[in-house]
Amino acid sequence: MEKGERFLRQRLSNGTQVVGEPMAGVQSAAVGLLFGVGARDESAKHFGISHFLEQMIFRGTEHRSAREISEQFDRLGASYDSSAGIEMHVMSCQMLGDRLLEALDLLGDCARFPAFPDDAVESVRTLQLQEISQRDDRPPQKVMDLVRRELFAGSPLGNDVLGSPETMENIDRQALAEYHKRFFRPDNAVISVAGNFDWAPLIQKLEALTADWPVGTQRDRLSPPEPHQSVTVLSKEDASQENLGFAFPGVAASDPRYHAAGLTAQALGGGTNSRLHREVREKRGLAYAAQARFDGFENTGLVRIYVGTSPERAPESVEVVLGELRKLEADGLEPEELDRAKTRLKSQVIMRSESTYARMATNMRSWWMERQLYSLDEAKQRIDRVTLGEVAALLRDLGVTHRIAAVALGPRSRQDLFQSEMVPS
Amino acid sequence: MATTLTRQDSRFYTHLLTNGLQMIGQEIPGVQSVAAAFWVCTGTRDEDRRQMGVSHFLEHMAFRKTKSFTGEEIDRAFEELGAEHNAATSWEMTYYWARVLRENLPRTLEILAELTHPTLEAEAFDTERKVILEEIARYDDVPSHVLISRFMRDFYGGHPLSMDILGTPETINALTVEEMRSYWERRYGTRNIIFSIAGNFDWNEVVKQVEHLSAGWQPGETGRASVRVQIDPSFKVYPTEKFVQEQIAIGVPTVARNDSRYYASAILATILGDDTGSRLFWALNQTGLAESASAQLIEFEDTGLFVVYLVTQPSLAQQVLDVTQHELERVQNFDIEQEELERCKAKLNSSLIIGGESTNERMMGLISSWQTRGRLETLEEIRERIESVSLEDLQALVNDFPLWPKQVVTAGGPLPGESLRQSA
Repeated sequence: MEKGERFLRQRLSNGTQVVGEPMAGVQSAAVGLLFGVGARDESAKHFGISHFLEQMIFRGTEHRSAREISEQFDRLGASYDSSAGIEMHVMSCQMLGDRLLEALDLLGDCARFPAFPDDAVESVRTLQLQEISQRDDRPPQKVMDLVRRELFAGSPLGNDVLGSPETMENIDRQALAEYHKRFFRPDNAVISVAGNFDWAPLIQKLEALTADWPVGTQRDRLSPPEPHQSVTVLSKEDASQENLGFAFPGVAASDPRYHAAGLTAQALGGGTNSRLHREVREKRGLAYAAQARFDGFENTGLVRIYVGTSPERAPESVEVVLGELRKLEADGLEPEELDRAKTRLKSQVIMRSESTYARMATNMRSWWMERQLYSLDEAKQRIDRVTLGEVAALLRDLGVTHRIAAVALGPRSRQDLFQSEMVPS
Repeated sequence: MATTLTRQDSRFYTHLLTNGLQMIGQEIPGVQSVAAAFWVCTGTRDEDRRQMGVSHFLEHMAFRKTKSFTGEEIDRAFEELGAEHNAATSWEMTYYWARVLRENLPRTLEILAELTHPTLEAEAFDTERKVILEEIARYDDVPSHVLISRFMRDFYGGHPLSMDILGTPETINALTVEEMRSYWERRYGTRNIIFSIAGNFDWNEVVKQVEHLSAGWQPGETGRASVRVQIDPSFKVYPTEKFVQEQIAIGVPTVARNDSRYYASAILATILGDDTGSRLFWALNQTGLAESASAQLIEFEDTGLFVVYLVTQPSLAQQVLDVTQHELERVQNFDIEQEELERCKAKLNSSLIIGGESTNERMMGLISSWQTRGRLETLEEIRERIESVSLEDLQALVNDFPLWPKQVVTAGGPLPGESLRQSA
């Protein structure tokens, strides 16, 4: 490990794993509480309930009103946030280290004893309905979300994170309380702390906060989804751009090929020196945004491409993207390409580690996904170990050119855009 | 006695090169990274209206070809250097920044310096024009961008700050590479450039290198004409069928950037419209009325703008507007209490220290200090300034720069014009 770097771990009495990384020379501390629950756990009647619950989590507990929670966080100078997605719910907080234990009192109260007050339930319902319709005001994000849902159609991993106007009507305090009780349990959680803190008092506090918290999470086992090839064209006559999204399968976060997948996505569309940026934007001026990103989930992964282009040039953009995918699958990466992607990723890993928040989040995620923590040296080595052969094998296994879901949102028609044999008609 | 230096034990440096280029730096112990940027004190407000968008287009052209590098070489180099990097144009500044590990700093500085000296060739110009037009089209579909554009025009009228940073399809199509070159020659001189750096570096080495890199650069012009700001209250609704949500901006003038009341103004914006715990948060977010409700301070050299930004569903827009005006009226009549002010200070102080742990944030903070105060401030000095703001200061501020009732209100979304009225 790098000088001064050390990890601390403790399994609390009722099963929650705590991971800690003290960092020298900083005043701040960051804490994250991760619970294994998300859109993939939802029943059809209550689609969107994970997001709903996340919006409710700071809106009042059995011991504190929403205003008390807000004012107490503010007095501690603590910034706080929560996010819920497809498979995890994270509550996080960052503050000066000497206020950590007090901030944990608040965070713990919110995590364990949310009250779901009726007026707050009504407010969140209205807000989530607004969020659902606001999606139409964000075509790039809408396309990126849709392309995931299309690729994973038939699997809970394709669930709609926001739900629908219909399911919003079904969510009430009882449904929220039951959902909370089922998934917010100590055996379904990881706690991560990084920065300026003392371990012993932290563990003591966490033991107290989690005492008598019943275990017994009932989370359904999930098989890796079958990727679902499809083409979806949504008409939006008044859009100024044609928004194009493509998705193909990746690998799970714990898969040994995880870094190979990340580096490939980076070389494909992860920056100004990527293939998509060069071919779509720099060479042809077809788009302002031409990107690829890779996301690793618990038992699968996803690579998504986004291009936003003017409607007249959209068919050409589609051809260029599909052409790049064909080339990638056939020829893999150039040696220098892989080396540069490694350099960039290693640099990012190191620079990111200067932030207490980022360090907390990285450790939280890597413990949850792999039951492992990696020092900076180990992280760099894992990246360095990726070979061209591995990348080539990965591309073959993924079968990128025949397992694509494509989504277009804009004025153009399906016939105009998708002529290629690569996507089914 | 040896002590471990922490990120809070920074050293601050300033140096004016003989060629007029200003350098500012903060050496931060205990980090491996270093963030650096060249800031050109030029932006959209310095443009001829017929050449609207030239600053931003020029920023794009920097990545196409410079004196010593092609675009590919620049992109490749940044990747090889493991750099986080970007460039941005606003109304008053254009900047080119990167963050790298210390061992990659010298080559990174070379590239950043190069970016301020593009060669501006016709063929690259024509290709990049297409990219700019794509960017304009993209943001034409972003409701908040469209709203702010309209709002700035309503607020600033004929003043240069009313112009669109991206330009318009008309001005971008009409622009010639010669016009861009001429703009560059005037505005990208050493007298108009500030170099800022924060993190792990050696100041003497960096000064020597930047001096060497900028030898032979022309001095150019500096400064800008101060145009009198004339704000006329207005209430305008722009029916825009393609959007689903209704967006509203409410703006009033406030202090300029180097005004001593700057921190009071920042505190007011936080109390009124911060993401959490603010007046608008309680009145609009917690009640489910508005998906988005915030207040922001935007400072310029010679003027300032205090703007409230709201997003809601059309059927709630009038109510949201009425509730917001009620909140603004309350603050105007001054019902802020000491406890609220203390909480706000605790929040800001904490985020100041946490931000101070980031080399990027500090590199940006240095410029802010320099332009606001004419010198560099330590975090402790900034903290004291925040601490010293009193209720009386806030009251004096809203007396001099009222939040209500004279405002510029701009709305856009599905609502037809007559469906939204100024609150009673």
